[in-house]
Amino acid sequence: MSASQKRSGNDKRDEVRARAEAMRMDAERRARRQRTLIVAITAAVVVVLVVGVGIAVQRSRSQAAQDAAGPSGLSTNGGLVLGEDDAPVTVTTYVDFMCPACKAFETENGALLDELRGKGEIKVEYVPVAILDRFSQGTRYSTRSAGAAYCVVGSDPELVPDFVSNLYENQPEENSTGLDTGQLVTIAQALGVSEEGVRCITDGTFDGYAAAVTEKASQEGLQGTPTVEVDGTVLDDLSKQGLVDMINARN
Amino acid sequence: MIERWTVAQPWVSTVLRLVLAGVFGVAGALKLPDPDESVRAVRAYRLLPEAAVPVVGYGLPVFEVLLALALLLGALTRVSALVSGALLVIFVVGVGSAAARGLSIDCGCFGGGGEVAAGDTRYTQEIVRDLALLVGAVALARWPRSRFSVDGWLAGPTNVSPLHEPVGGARR
Repeated sequence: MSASQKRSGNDKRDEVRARAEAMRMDAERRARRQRTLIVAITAAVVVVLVVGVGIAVQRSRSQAAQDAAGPSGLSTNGGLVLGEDDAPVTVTTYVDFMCPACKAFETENGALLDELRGKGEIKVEYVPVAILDRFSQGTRYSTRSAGAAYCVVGSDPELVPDFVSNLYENQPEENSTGLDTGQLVTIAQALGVSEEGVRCITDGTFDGYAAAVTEKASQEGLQGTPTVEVDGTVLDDLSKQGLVDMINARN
Repeated sequence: MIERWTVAQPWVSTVLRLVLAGVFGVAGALKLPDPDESVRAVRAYRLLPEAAVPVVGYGLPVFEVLLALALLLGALTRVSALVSGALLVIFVVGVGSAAARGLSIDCGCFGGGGEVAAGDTRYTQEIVRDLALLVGAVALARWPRSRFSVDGWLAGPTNVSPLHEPVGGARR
């Protein structure tokens, strides 16, 4: 065997080896790509499944998404309208009983609203909502207190203004646990709320309804509390003067 | 200098991973307890059609927790980092647009949300925070290799430590 023949044999062997190596790397690359694809698809499927299940769970946990029955005799906004039928102006108040600014509005204007309503000048629409549940250490005071108000709406509507102002008088600090159900019952009983209303508060019968009203109001543009509307127009100036001016402008 | 980065990079990436995991985990977990509030927070941006609002309100917290879990474990780190970045871009756009339209809302990033008094918005702070996290997410996507990660364990010993990476001979 000559030297040149030997070299060509080596070359051939190298060439075969190189080709085998290239094929192996190619196969490896393909396997890797396939593995990546499988991982990606699996991950995507897992994410879609988990998020899908999560959405279903969250919806089932949402109080507002349930079909909650409310008391009878409600306004279209889901609240209670008090006042003489021919009163020319309607003042609507969206309030959360945990909200200090709502209490401030009540302190400033509660008596005036009662007075104007008594004189037949306005109707007052009470729409308790619950947007501040996160401020009661998980006890959902906003929902419970609004639910209690709807109980009084159902059993003793004429006592609603008193019940509302009493809730403000006893307004808990933000980030406290709020009034417990027994305290809500005590307030109701002191005002003469009937047995039916008291049982409703004890059972939290209308808590779900309060959440549903809140969701409906939110969908219709409610952003915060207190929101006060005079004949459907949002009142920006919540002072007594602002309220009187707006009512006079409508009269 | 380059060698020092080679040594430090997996640790830097680990920190980025854990920071992002912490932020998304907390953000998601704080929104989970009150689905109604979460829906209202999404609605307050007035960006999505009503049909999409509950889907995002219910789904986003779950997605955030899932993303946090992937980041915490270091599973699919690069993808997780890219998804984090995309999410942060969406958040910045959302908050920026709320600011530009003169809305007075809380971003609802960590629960809460909805309208706040005109002087109580925190748009600048919210955007700066999200942009800082975005930088971290992009860096993690660029250098996804990190310590204590599922990715690292799956890749085997060669990818665990750059110092012991065989030179050239890895194929045999």
